[in-house]
Amino acid sequence: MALHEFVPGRANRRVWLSLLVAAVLLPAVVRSEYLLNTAVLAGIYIILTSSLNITNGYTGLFSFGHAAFYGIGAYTAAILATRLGAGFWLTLPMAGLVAALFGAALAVPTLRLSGIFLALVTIGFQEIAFLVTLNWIGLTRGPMGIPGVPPPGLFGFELRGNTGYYYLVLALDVLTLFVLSRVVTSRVGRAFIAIREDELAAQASGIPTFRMKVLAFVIATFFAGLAGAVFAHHARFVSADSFRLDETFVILTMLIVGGMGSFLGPIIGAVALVILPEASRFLAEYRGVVYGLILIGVILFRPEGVAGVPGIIQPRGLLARRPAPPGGEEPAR
Amino acid sequence: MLLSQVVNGLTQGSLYALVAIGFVIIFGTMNLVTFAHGEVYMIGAFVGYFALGVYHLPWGIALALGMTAAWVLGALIEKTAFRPLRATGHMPPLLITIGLSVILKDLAVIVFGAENRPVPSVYEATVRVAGVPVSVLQLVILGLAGGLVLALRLLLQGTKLGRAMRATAQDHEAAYAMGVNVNRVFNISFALASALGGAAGVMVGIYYNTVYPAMGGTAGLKGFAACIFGGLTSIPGAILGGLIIGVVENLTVQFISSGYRDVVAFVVMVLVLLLRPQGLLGKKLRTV
Amino acid sequence: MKPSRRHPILGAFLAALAVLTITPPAWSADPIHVALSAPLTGNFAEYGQNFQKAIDLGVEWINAAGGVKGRPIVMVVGDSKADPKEAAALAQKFTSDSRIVAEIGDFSSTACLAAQPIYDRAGMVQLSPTASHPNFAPGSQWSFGIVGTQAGEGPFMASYAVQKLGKKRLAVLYINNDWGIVSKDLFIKAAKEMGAEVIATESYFETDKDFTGVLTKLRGQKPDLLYIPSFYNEAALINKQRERLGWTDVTMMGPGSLYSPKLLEIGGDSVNGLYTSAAFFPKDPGANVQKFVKGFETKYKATPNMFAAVAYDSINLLAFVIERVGTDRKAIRDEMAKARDFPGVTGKITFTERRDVVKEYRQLIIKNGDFVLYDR
Repeated sequence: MALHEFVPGRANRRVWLSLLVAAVLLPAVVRSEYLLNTAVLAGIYIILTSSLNITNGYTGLFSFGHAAFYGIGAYTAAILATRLGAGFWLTLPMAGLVAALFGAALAVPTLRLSGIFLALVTIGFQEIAFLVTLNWIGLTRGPMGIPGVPPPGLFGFELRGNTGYYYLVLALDVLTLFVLSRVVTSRVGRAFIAIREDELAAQASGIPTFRMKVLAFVIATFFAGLAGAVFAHHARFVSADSFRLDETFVILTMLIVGGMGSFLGPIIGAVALVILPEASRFLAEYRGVVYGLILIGVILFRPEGVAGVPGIIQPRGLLARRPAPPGGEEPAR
Repeated sequence: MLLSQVVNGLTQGSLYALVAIGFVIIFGTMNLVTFAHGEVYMIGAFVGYFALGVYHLPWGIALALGMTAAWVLGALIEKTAFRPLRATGHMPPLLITIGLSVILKDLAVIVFGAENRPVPSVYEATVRVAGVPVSVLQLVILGLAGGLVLALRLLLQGTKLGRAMRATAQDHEAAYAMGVNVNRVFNISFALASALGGAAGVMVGIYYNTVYPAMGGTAGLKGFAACIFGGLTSIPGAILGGLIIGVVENLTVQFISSGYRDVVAFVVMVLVLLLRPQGLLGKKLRTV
Repeated sequence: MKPSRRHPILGAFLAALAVLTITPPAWSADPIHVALSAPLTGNFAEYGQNFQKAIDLGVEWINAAGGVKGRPIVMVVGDSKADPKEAAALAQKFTSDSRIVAEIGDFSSTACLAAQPIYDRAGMVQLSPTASHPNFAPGSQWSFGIVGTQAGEGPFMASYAVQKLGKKRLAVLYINNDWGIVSKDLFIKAAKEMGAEVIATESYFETDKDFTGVLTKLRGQKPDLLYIPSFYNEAALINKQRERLGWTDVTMMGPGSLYSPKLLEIGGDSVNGLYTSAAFFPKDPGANVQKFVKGFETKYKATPNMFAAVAYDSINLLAFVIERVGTDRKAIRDEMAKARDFPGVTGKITFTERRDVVKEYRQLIIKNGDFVLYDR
């Protein structure tokens, strides 16, 4: 079976269970607090890339605003926790809900745009969200950020070490991936794919394409919001400039490198690109260059990434065998 | 004070316009969007800074060097990133320019350092125009931007190359059929757009007395907003869009608050995309 | 159905992970390790590099005199770029390193606040040479600040402006961050109590470079004095753009954050006549001040500024505390909190129960491209 067809299901239960067991045992093997911290980060990015995959990978929508929803979730959690004393188990779903609400509010007027226009509108929204956050000091403390977000507590027992956070993130990852796997293997998921492949045909065959696109957006932003809550309670300090276009590019790069439109792709991309800068100090210092080169390399030589569905990024093969017509052609979308 | 703000706005707006014109040229000719334009602008600005601030060359030379550096970089980008992907639609080149923008910005931080570099002052004097205090530098920038636009117009309307560029923009297959070397036109168009961006970068560095690696990000996005506002394929639209955004930004500072200045460009962009995607002066667009 | 091949990247990742976990930690029982978190690159590099230079000088002298409890001090340095996220990441690294007994840093209040929960959680002293936000030191048992807070500097500057210089119509242009907001608030409160009128306040973000719009707006209000709680980069740009707009009939003043040669270098002629303050003045005849100044000038061919001075005081204070109680992190904290009249080059250091200090300041003005005491 090709990597991109690998979805959790009855048939490959054993593989996923053994991966889960390995993940659960990880802290016993990896003792370094610093590496556990890296694993927590990887876990957060897995949620981010998998959720972005729903819109950009499965449904073929080019949303470039994901970091804004991540940020909205993080700020929601931080504000509820520091102003109202809400605990993690309340801030987490609230973060997802608020992010999804914004997602829906953005989706409805903008999803009739497509391609580059949709990308630009989402970028515009992201910058506006950033600037409003920066200026609305009464709510968000503006450029000072919100420090002092408490760690998650369970039955009065506060999470302190990285091991605790690791298991928390692991549990959330399992939950997220489980839900998303149900979504993509359902009729809704098939509708998403149909919309990506040929929206007109999908419409003609009775799929309510607009509603489905909004649904994809809402699902994606909900999970981005959840990731934001986890980030807020882990870093315990949220600041608006963690959630700008740069961050969306990071998530997008992870998704493309791992592979869009498949289940494994985002997981591989997130883990690989979070671990990579830790592998050597050189890579850590040149992180931007490394990410950029990897992205370019992937687009040029293997646009489907490690485990993605071929054909999403461009309709025909790269470095096409027949000579490029002068000036290119209209894309087949 | 109002007129002062308008002058401030026109000056900044003319610089946004130069960046926006670059996007119009690239999109109009090649039907492509680049996210690396801001970084090209930044590299031009740094070259200008080195020429003016480190080697103490006259600012005119610094400007020419900055524009040349941007031209060369643009030509390189087109040749290596856009040409091999020409048959594949607009998304792959876009993603590649994202990669390039990240690389260029990071390299600039590594090579130059993240801190602001101080650019020496040019034209410190102030004059009164119709009773309004105006910095001589503002007048110089307005004049220069205007001059570049005029030169561009002369190029497009009055030269063979210009005609080839316009023909290619209109219908590249027909142009090819008529014997235009379309590949060369694409490359020159991209390089030219980049040079205009580089010019804006150098002038921004001189105007604010500072250059720094992150300067390309917002400038590129605002230039794009101006381009969309004016109409993706219209050069006069880009100029108008840039100027209007510049003025509205400064009026926002005057009447609302300086913190919200940057929002203007993005709100404009979003509104235009939702309500009138062809912008002020663009033609009704085929979907991209 | 299992995939018929393991993907090479997955394998490589697992291998890398294995290698990283097996690498043994470095062990060295002898030196005492102290961490430094400061902006060594980026827009605040000037400040962080001053920290490092002064601390290196202090450590050199301490070690030459036999070290602390007979052991040399070794600095573990991290570049925070004054970015709160980096400061927090460094805090994670430092606190998980069991050799490190305490941390000096960071430069900006925002970065310190971001790292604070981590030092608090792990139980390590966070001694900031320059954090002057009134909420920083009280925020954690482990946080200490020695530069004084804006609760002291604000009224001092207000008195300079209103009572010494006789200005009545004040405008404020402040940097929109923790420190700037609190500086502005405390200055304005004191100025109003002294009878001045604050006719306009405007802010800017750290990344803003364009001040023409906001300067034009402020000019329209015709203030006597413009107070600019900023760092040297923006203060220099503000002044250059102010000059260029032809607005030369206003008095400029800023707090001690501006007391740096970089302001003179970037601002050039436009900063002549700017009023500022300092808690440390190199021409102070005190013996320990002169020893520090001469030593710094010999080693670095440059006169130390306030930032070098507070960093120098930080390492000396820490060394003094460790000499008394040893290297247990908690013991260091407890002893530090008891510091009374420690003789620093920036004045006597006594921690209040909030773990900040009360400082004395001097009034300065920039004349002919140099900082001089204002003596009229």
